Amino acid sequence: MSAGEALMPPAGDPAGDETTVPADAGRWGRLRRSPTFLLAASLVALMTAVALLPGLFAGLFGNGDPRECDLARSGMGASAGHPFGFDMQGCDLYANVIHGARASISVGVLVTVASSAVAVVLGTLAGFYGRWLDGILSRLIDVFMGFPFMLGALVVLIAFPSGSIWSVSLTLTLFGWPTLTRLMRSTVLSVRELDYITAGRALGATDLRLMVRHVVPNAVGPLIVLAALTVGTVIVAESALTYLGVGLHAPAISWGLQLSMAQNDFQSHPHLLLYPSLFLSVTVLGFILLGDSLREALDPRSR
Amino acid sequence: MRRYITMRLIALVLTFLGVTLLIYVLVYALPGDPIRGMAGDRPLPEGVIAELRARYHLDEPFPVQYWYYVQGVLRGDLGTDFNGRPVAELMADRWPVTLTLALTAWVLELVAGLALGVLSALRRNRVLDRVVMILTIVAISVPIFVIAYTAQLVLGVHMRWLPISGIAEGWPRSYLLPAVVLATFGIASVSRLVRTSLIENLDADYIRTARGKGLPSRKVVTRHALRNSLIPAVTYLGADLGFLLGGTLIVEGVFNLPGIGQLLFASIQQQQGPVVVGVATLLVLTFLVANLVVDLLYGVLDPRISHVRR
Amino acid sequence: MRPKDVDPHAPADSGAGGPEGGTPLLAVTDLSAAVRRRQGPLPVVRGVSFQLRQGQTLVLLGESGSGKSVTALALMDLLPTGVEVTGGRVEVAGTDLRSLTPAARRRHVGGTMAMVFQDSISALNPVMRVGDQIAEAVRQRDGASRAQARTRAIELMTRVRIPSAEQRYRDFPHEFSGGMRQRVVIAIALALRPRVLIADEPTTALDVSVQAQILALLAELQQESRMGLVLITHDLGVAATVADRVAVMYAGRIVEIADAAELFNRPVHPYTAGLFGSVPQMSGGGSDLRPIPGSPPSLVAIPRGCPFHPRCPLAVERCRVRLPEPENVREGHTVACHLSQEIVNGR
Repeated sequence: MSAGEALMPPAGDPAGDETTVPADAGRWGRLRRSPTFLLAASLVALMTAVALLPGLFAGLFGNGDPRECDLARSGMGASAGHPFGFDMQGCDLYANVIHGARASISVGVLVTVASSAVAVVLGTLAGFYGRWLDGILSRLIDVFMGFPFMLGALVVLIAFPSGSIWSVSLTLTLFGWPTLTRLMRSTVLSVRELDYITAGRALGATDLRLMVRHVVPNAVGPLIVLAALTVGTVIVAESALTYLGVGLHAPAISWGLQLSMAQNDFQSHPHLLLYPSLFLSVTVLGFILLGDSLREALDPRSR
Repeated sequence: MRRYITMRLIALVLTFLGVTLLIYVLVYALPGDPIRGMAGDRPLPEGVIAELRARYHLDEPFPVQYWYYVQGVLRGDLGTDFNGRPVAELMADRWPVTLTLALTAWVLELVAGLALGVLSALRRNRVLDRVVMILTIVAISVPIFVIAYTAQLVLGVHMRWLPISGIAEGWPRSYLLPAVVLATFGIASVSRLVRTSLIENLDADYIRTARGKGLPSRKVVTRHALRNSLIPAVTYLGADLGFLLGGTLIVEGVFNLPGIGQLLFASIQQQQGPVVVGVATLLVLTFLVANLVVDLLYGVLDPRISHVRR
Repeated sequence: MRPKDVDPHAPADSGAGGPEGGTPLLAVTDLSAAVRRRQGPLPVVRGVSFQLRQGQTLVLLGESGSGKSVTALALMDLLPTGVEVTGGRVEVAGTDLRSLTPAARRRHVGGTMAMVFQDSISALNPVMRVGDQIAEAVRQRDGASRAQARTRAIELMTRVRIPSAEQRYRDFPHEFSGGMRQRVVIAIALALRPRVLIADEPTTALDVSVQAQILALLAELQQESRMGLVLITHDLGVAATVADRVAVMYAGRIVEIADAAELFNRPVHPYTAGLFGSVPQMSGGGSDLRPIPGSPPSLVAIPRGCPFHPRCPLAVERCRVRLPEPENVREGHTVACHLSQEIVNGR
């Protein structure tokens, strides 16, 4: 026995262990007390609020219209009512950065939700039934993971240029589902062998019922962790593609576009680079910390 | 062991065919007509167009075109671009640049990632560890082109430590800044991986056994804990060689390095399908071979993986 | 026998019983250990005292969470990060471990004691050949050359009855069965030529038939080298088979310690008696079979007073308020219970 176990309450003791806190309550309790989780959750909540109600936040300094531009103010620094200054078109940078949240977060969430949905369905089926279904899916995942993500997305977006949130999301989903599906499949594989699944099967439960009621709920934990991290990764990928000129196009307002437009002028006007990247990075940081703290709560071994 | 390698090679060939087919479909779907595109403003006579189409098999159905391509790859021939220059020749000057960049970044990941990870784990929850953990998570959250511009601005423009553009000064000076930028994400990931797994291993029972032998701490860490902790990092580093090659797409642009990423980007924009496919083919091959090597190395590091059973 | 007034801080255990007399190899006095926490230390071992002599086998008996593993790790100076010794003395071959620097302590422990763990698969480095793991111990202990260490490792493997030792030298831990692996762990311990061997649940993870073989092997090796053996177990059968002396632990304390025959025949502490499936009656003899109701306390919520009182059929008011100190009830038989005299006399 390791000393770590020695310090645990005597779980599995035949005399009963009413002193042990149920695992779920322990997890949520740990999560609620984790400063990382609280920080991450507040960042994500704040940025989501900004994305949902940009008008509310953009108007804070009295100049909330991102499209109210005046070339005479091109590239100017901060002034009263314009805390971040102006971009090269003379638009208020603060209003633009605030309005940029929606595009980035929408893409991040859309891609993650769609990829997770694919992962739950395909991963569960492949993990549960195995055999040829699993074989085909695994080879397909190998193919999609066989080349750099950016390369694939780049080629697709050039082949089908539209520059909308939807097409960018669809493309990123095309290359995002394999990672999540592979994880779901392997978790389902391990859950499938658990006693209560065998018991359920022996009791004559249908496969569908077993999957929906038992397999998925017990296998979805790691997927949720990875999904939170994926939102962050996707936001970064979107900004990189937009920066390369194949992602979102003007007149959309996004951090990637702002950074892309800043690339020629950032040496003389560093604020054009600073504010969009600050917001972008903080948002990504929020989602990554969220995933990290969820993982720690789900896996008591990691510290 | 031999059986395992055979199986892996078959899987590699299948994956390679799948990936290249996918790339081929995508490139095939690229908009515009490459032949008309290269002609510029003056319209070519229809006869010439037809001849060019035939030369590049553009008049054949898609599966036939793909078959010609696969045949070419098997002969080591990556084809020619629409101006008649062999793709291999186009890449010849550029591969060394990209490979130098990617390998420099890779070595940085290996060395800095391992060092930071080990230091953090050994100083767990102390100041150094906290600082490293915060810096790494920030490094993971900031997009690479932002890091690139910031590095250019601060280290290149303001402090004038390193050149910010081109390869005029050769290795290492011209490559250092882009390589550091390219490696940032990997250094952060490797050090976090090494830290987590080293901490886990330092608490393992077999470390107690080793300490119980009276071994000094240094030997306990290097001989026992470290080797077991390297497995996740090796997996990551193996897969990462391919990602680094992909990441050069952005870094080469920012630092204006004449590498494969620049070529690829330009070719996509100029609809030079054969070049895109050729470059992508080599990238994918490198990626797949690196992964295969890692899997085999995995067996050396961890004898529990069954394929190295005698 | 009349109760003696005992100084609570004096060694409560004389280390009586067992095959040989003389100075103890291992003397543990009032040892305490605690988990470091933000809210202050959480004691997990509290005032443990016992002695061990050459050739003697002491069994630490208790349920999981009773502090017996932490005690063993504290003796070996192998406590995990976050758990530390907070008081008491551990004298090994006459030297107090806590008076040594960490490096000197590591050397002294390595030169005098060795440990066998419960879970042999995790006790061995998964990526190192078993022979090399044994040879490493030989080299560390004796400064032998590589070749000498190898020869000695093969001898040790043969000694613990691993068949075709020479061939198996190059195998990895996962290629061994549980019983064979535990033999490897024992061989590593033997390589250190320990004077005290600490075995923490060495047979718990094994099949019943293999358990007996491993216990027999340990006993045989002990006979041969006159080692002191501290065996940690929750298994009464194991304790009865090998023990010269038995210390019963509950909630981080030794509640009763006596020679094996004495303890098994005349248990005094209600917990010990409960473990044996009988509760002593104060009025007249006789015992009826009853399992102990309730479960051992969680270490974060150890009851005030005697930690056993919520489950004790005999508990009275003072059990709820005051912690009982260990008292000698007979020669070499020490009990920490307010009612020990009544129980002894009432029998």
